[in-house]
Amino acid sequence: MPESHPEPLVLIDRVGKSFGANRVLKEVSLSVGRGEVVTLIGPSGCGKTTLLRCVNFLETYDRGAISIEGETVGLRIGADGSRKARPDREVAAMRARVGMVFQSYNLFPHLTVLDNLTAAPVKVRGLPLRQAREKAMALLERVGLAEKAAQYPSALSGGQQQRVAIARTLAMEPHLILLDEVTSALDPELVGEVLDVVQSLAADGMTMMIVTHEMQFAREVSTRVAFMASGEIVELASPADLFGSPKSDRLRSFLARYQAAHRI
Amino acid sequence: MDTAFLLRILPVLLEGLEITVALTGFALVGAAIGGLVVVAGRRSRFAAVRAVTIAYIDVMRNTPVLVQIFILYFGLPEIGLYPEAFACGVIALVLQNSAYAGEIYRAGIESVNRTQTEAALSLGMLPRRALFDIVLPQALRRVLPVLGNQAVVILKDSSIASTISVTELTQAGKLLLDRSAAPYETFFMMAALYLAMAAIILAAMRLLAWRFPVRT
Amino acid sequence: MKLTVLTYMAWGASVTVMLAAAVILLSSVLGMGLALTRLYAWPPLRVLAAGYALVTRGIPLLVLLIGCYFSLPYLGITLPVYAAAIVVMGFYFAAYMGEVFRGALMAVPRTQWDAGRSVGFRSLQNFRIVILPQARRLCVAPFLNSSLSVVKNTSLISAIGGWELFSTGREIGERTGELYYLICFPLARLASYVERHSHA
Repeated sequence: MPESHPEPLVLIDRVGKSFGANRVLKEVSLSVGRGEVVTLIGPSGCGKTTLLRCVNFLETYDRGAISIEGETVGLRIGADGSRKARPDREVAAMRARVGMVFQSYNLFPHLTVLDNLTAAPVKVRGLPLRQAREKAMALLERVGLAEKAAQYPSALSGGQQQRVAIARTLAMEPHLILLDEVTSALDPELVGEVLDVVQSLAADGMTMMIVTHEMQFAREVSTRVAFMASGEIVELASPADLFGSPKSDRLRSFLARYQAAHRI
Repeated sequence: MDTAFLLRILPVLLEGLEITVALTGFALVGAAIGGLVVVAGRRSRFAAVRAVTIAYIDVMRNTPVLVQIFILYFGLPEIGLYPEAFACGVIALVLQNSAYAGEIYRAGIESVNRTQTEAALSLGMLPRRALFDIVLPQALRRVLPVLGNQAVVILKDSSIASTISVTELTQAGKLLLDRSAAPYETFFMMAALYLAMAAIILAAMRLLAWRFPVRT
Repeated sequence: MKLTVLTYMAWGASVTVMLAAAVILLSSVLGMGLALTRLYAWPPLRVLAAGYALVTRGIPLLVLLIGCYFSLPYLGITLPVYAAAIVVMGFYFAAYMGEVFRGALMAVPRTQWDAGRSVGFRSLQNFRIVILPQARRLCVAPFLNSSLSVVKNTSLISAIGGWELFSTGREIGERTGELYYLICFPLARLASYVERHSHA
């Protein structure tokens, strides 16, 4: 597999996961270099969201290893192959360097937009409140929502809430951002504003792993696209190659079904 | 209705009211804190702790306060402790209502979507921090009305302390009823005072609900 | 000696159960009336019913029992202790049962009324055939919880001089607690079982 960037930020090495008898992830290997944007696409149930959630250890994984900047995620794997869960402290420290944006935004409803952004920097990094607020306001400006700082999430539209969610992860200055179907819960006319923000993040060199249904967007923002089906990566290539000349039948039929569904 | 009589008995009843307020106040604080202990035990990752907590909740919910007060007041001396009647009353109320408060807290915590915890964890918060700073504030807002009702229950159960001669409102009223020949006025006054206290508790709860509304 | 203790306890237990049953029956009947009044009757009556519910739930049962114990003789009513207790507790818990039934009736979705009317049922029919059966299912769990409360509160009757489980127990000490537990436990288990299965 051609390495487009020298040292991988994320190394996923033969990772497997089962929910009971169901093998959700079979033997997934993938590396993401610094500044890369890798997008996972595939039919529902293929394991793309599960894989993403394993990267910041919201899900454990049974086999293989995921490492971020050289550190194994969530587990300590001994030379004898023993797997022990890391203490909460270490997992939390790792998660502070990895941002995640969810499909349903998950803003804290009882806090204002500004407080949503300052909560983690203050409580986790110990930043003084004033400094945290200044940085938060700057981030809100960046996503175009500075005037909403004193409002509560319920007063914002879906697209606005998602942009706040992105700003919230940026407040922790992550090295990597995971985006899990961030536009799937939005009304169509609100999708664009969110995608614009993600585009600007990519342009600024943020390393990202994205799970999405928006093929056009995947084409535009990714450095590489991985097509997953039944718990494994079937094809991995640049957007031009993957969408332009799909090699496997599964990818071909997936793309065909997608195009058929979007021919309105 | 003899209003002069009403005014004469009022001071006596108000003395009892003071004790009732004290009883209820201590019990409210005790149960609020005890409830946190109970819910922590109930959600512990150690099966043994959970089992003990569930058993505790079970016993408290299935035995009347009166029985518990008596067991404390008459039973503790047998193991060498001689607590005052007032203390017995507070302890019994706290033990009982911690169980109920704990279950109310638990219902509130479980009603907050798991995704809130996930979002907090993803930002690097430790699980305990996520619980206290993100989940608990939302959970408490949701169960405020139920907690209010439980507070009124504590107020009413404080009357049971009269059976071990704590001179709270009910006891004061009972003594008056024994001695006087005007039961209606006494009863009416007692009832009115309890209703007033209940109304104050509910109003306080509504104020809290206005200051800390549930936002979705 | 042991047998006497057990016989006393058994007698006390059966009195408790009978008292509680009588109170549950009375309060259910009154409570149903209260619920129907608050939901469907002429507005002034609704206000009265709401007021009744509010007042009875704001006063401790013990106060009510003591008050009636002392005032009823003045009205020339002399009832045996048990009968008086049953009546007072019946009226007291009517407010709680009323809330249970009212809650269950209100929980049946409005759309069910529309559905009934669209097949041609008239109001009373609609109520009897469509609404009531659904409400019945919804009220079982809170009803059992309230009944549990009734059983526990029968202990207060001893405070006004009645003999039942509690008073016999007082002479025997802590065993009473166990006995209440034995009575209440199956009731509580039943209540949570029903609650879990009614969320099917």
